[in-house]
Amino acid sequence: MINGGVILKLKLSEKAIGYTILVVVVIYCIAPIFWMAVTSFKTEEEIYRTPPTVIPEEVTFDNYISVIQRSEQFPTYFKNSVIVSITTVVLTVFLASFAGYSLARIPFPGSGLILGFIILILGLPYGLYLIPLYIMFFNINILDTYMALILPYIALNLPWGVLILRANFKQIPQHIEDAARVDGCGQFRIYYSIMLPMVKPALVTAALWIFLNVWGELLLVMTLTETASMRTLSWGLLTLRDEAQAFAYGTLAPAIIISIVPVIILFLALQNYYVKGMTEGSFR
Amino acid sequence: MKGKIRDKLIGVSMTGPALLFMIILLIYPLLYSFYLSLTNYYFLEPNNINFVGLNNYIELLGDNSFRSAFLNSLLFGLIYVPVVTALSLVTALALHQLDNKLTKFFRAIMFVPVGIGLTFVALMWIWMLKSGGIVNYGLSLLNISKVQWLGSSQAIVLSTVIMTVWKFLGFNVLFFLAGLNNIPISIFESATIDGVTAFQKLRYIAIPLVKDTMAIVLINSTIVSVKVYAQVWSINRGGGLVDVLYTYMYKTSFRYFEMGKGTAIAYYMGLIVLLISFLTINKLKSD
Repeated sequence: MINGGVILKLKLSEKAIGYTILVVVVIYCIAPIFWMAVTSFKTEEEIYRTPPTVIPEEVTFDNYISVIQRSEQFPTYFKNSVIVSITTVVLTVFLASFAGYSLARIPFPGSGLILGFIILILGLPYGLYLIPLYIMFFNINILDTYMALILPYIALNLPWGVLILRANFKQIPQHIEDAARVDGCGQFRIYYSIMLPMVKPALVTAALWIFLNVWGELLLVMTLTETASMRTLSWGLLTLRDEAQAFAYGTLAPAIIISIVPVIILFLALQNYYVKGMTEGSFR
Repeated sequence: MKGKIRDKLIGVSMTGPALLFMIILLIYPLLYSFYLSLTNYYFLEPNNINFVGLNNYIELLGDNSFRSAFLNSLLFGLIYVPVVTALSLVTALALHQLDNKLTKFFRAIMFVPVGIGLTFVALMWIWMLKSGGIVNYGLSLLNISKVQWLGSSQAIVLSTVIMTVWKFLGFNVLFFLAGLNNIPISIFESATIDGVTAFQKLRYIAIPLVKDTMAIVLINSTIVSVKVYAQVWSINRGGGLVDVLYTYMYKTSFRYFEMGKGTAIAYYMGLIVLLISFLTINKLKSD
């Protein structure tokens, strides 16, 4: 996919420069994750030893056990992150695919305007919505609940989701839809049985992105939730770090690793879907 | 005819729910924000609200804390945007020219940081950049003296650049790869045959021909710069040394509860984004 597989005959010096750059960049990209992973398996003593060891002399799972079993808050944070993220993803993709389809295929008055709005909203920092949302939620008493997070997350991710899905629906050749109509399919049936399966990669891509956006988000969590029982991993890890004596990374490291492992796995597993989507259709 | 009207109704009803969400939770708050920014709304005394016109906006311009937050964000942007754009273009070109299984694997690795939330990114980098951390240890091996990566406001801005470049590099690389793919490969082939050097390829082929992609990358990177929050917050949790626009807005609104002022800050941030996007698109159109 990179350049269509064309092998260029490059000078040796060019190749050397190129590979050097790439290796440096790759090391840059892996180093923090690698180092945090290594730290998470070290004993407390070895973590703080100077000179630091790159490969642990003694591998221990204690830190992980401590974080999973003995910590009161970490499992709660994890659970909350999972609930909020998955709910948001499911609902957003659901709503966005409906809207994306109708905006792509069913011309109705106002659809252009709606599209314009959506594009306008995209670049704005979401801090603009933060204060009114806080006031609104405070007034109807839903602050510090799952809804306080899920509802805004859906709204924040919808614009992008709608645009991506609309772009993908638009790429489906008109004649497929026409053929279905001739066969007597109603609009909804066309959507459900024909169109939707054809944009599966886009659905997966959108779901992945939304999940990642929500999983790592901090600002809304900090603002719209108040008690530790409702908070998610991002804020939770900061708290864990500060509460532990002097930033004790012994317990924090496995917490961080556990927080990012789902992300990394999803990312690598679903590569095929989003790489194609990102570099081909989606930015017209 | 009836079928058509029915179709249009279905269209509206399919868009409806999404639209409703966005109207209630985005458009309405946006307008409400604007209104609040023209008042002296203090959350703890909500009934004591007065209309003050553009006062908040004017006061902010003279507010030292706002200025320093703005300058920190500006400093960040001035370093981050060129660095990440240049680095990702060069990396993308290297990947493009050396296309093979190995570089595909590299590309996949580079993209992983993109998925990791900025808070986690910050925590990982803080661990590496701390006084006694591995980065300083590595520097000491090279006989370079320790750097207080998190010790001064400039250092924090620099460290934040390092973290943010780390996260978004792969993302921009993919953009540039898409742009490079649009260049007919024959141009590169002839260049190679003619003995053009790598640097010349970069300067005379890649840069001019990926203008559109560069616009996207620049605008995105500017938005990222304005949105810097989690990185800085993870370092000092609003404790002082460095504020950027977002953290200052948060503190104003949710620690001091001066929400009139806070919304004005948010609007300033939105204006900056709109302005830069507009300027970037214009400049690249005319080049």
